[in-house]
This record gives sequence, structure tokens and C-alpha cells, in this order.
Amino acid sequence: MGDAELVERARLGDREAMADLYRAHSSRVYTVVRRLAGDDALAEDLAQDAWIRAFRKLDLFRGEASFGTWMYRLATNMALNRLRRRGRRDEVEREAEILRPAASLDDAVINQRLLAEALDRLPPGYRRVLVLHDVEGRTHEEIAELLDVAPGTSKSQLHKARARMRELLEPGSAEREANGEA
Amino acid sequence: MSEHLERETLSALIDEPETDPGATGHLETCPDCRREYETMRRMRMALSALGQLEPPAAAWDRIEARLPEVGRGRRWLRAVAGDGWVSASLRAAAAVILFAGGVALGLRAGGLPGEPALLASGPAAHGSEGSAAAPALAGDAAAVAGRSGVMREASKAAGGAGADPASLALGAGGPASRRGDADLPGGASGEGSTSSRGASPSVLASSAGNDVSLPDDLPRPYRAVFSRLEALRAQGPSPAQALQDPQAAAQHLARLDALIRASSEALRAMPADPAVNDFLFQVVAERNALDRVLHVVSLDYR
Repeated sequence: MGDAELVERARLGDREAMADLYRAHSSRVYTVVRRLAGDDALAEDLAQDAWIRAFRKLDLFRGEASFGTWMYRLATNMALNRLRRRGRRDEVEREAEILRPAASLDDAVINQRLLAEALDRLPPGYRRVLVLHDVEGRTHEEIAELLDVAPGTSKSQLHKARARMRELLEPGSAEREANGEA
Repeated sequence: MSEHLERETLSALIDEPETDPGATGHLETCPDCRREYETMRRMRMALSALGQLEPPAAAWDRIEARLPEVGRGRRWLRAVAGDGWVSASLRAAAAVILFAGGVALGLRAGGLPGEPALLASGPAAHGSEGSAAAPALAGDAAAVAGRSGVMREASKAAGGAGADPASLALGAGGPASRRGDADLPGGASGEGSTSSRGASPSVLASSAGNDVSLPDDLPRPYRAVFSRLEALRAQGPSPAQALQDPQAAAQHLARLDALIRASSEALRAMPADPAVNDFLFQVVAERNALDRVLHVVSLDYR
């Protein structure tokens, strides 16, 4: 059964259809939300809220894009709005965490686990731009619209974010940071 | 350029190598900066190749637990009519709502003989807001019923051959006075016999649509009201249709408003009942969604 039919059934309250839609698109939705949030529990909350909202708003899904694309955009927008409201709170919470060291710089910059951990430790503003641009492949114009900033701001944030990521992935950076060194 | 390039500059060169000839020139002559540039470029490529993540295994369960507030009433219909887990009192409460909603929607306009008596005996006839709404909606409901033939079908289903119109009413006492009687909310007037009067469940189900499955032991009067109510709600326009035909949307909005009033009336009688609360919530959500469409305030997640 295709998404279009599942959506029609879900509009009528069919739980199985909702579950099928969830199963088909949950990874993509959770991935972008998790990358943006930088935190497991927060990501689960955000993803959950996005799905609930999607099922509530199915009548507004007009089929102009695929359901997966609509759902992905909805989840991204919701996550960004919520994270914007959270401000810098989670940035402070991250300071005590130690990044596990890599054997070498070459290992670090291509190691998915270390990259993911470093992403989580980025300041939220940097993380959002870096995730949207480098991970999700959005253009600066799209990011500017999503974040309500100028495209130039998106570019500038991206370069700062990459530089910060590079620092975080440098062997020994965790120890230096724990000792209060820049 | 003798000093090494900043990492931010190197980052910019990854995306737009042509925009800074001075930096590009330095990169060609400085092995340290070239190495750093390559490292950052590899990092950028690795980021774009980050794999997908899976949500926690129990995530759907948590979402599903919040889904009772989602849907357009049909799911609630299944909860009431469905798998046998619903308690008798819940079913009775649901029947009260269905009846109240049906009354508020002006079902007497379907041409059934004796239907004014139904209105007179129901909760909306006791000076509530719902009773005021019913006459105004009568014409609309009749038009809907006339198009679909649902009410005639419901009449046949409820009464079978030589249907007794009185069996469609709950009785003089009204539902609130008998809510302890699970199977027969109208039981105080001796309507226990109605459940054995034998309308075919399959016929009843077909009168309300293919996806409606009513339990065999649901008292017949509620079956009829239920079928009509669902049929009327199903006549509601989709958001796209509402945009094209605001008049039809406004009419449906009025039906939903009447249903909300009727549900609120029932909620006063049983304020803690989860089914009543859930139903009211859903109708309000449906009403608000339609209202938003009418005002062309749609969410556009581009």
C-alpha cells in the first residue's frame, strides 16, 4: 500500500495506517531531529511531537510533495522552532561532557561516532547550520529562511561551526577543554 | 601572505574556492595550510555521509498512546464499538453522546415518522443550547440526508419491517437519568426489548459506511442515531473542497458547532467520562481545523 492510500486511511483515524507511515519515515525524521537537537531525550520528544502534529494536521497535507518530504519538513521546522526557544540552555549543559579521544586526526574527522559526538557538543546555533548544510544538504538560502537570518549569516555561522568542529576533533582537545584551556 | 590561513577561511575555500584568490594562492604554496584544508574537506565529506539513526524501539508506543486525541471520530467509534474491552458504562456514555449529537444535528428532518417525539424526549429538548441549534440545522441535515439516503437506510435498519418510531427515542427520562444501565441507556422506560427486536447488524453497519463495525449488543436506538450521525459527519467537505465551496464548509461548521454544544451538554452530566471528553475534544479539533481552512490559515511546511 502506497503512502497516498495510507494517508487517506490515517485521515480517518486508522491506527494501522498511521503506524505504517511512521515505520516508513521514522528514521529520516528521527535522524534530522536528533542531529539538530544534539540530545537523545530531547530528540525523542521533538520527533514524537512532530508525528502527533502530523497526524493531527493530515487534512492540511495536500499531496503536492510526498508524505515523506512533508513530514521531514514539518519535523525540521518544529524542531528548529523549539530549539530556538530553548536558547542557550543546552549549550551550558554540554560543557562538562568529555569527547572520547581519537587515535589520530585522520581517524577523528572521518569517524562517524566521533563526528556525531562532536556535533552534539557544538553550540546549538553552530550545530543547526552545520547539520542543515553539511549533513542535510540545505543551501544557505534555505537555511536563512528556516532560521530567519540572512544567507550571509548562515555562511558565517557555517564556517565558524566547521572550525569549532575541527577543534573538537583534534586529539587532546577534550583534555584541554576539561582543564579550562581554549 | 606569510601567516597561515584561519580555519574559517579554509572552510570558505571548501565551498567557494574562487572567491578569495589570495587565500587560494597561499594554499598552493603552504603545505601546513594545504594539510589543514584537506583535513577539513574530509571532515565536511564525512559529515555529509553520516548515517541514518533509528528512533528508540518504544517510540511508536509512546506516540500511539497520545493518538486518542487524533482523528475524526471514526477511531473513537471503533473504541466504543470495537474489541470488547470497552466497559459497559463507557458504551453507555458513548451512546448518550451519539444521541445528544444526533438530536443537536436536527435528525428529525430526515422524514422519519414520529421523530419530533424523539427530539422532545432527548436532552437537547430541555432548554439547552443544543435544542436551540437543532431547528436551525434541520434543513441542512435534511439536504444531506436526502442526498445520501442514509437516514432512510437507518430507519429501515433501526426498525426493520414496520419500524416503531418510538424505538428511536431514549424515553421520557433522558439518558442522564439512566446512565447506570449499561446496555440500555433508555431502560427505565422498558426498552430492554428493543435490543432483541432483531435488526441485522450487517445492515446496520452498511448504513453507516463500510468501515463502521457495530457490536451486536449495542442497543438498536443507538445504532440508528449512530449511523445517522456518522453519515452526517462524513458529508463534511475535505479541506480542498472547503476552499472551493465555502458555503458547504460553513454548513458543516454549523453541524460541528451543534455537535459540540450537544457534547458539552452531555459532559455536564458526566464530566469525568473519558469517552465523552475525548469525543468532545475530537469534534472541537475537527471544527477548528475546518475553521482554519475557511479562514485560509493553513500551515505550509515548505
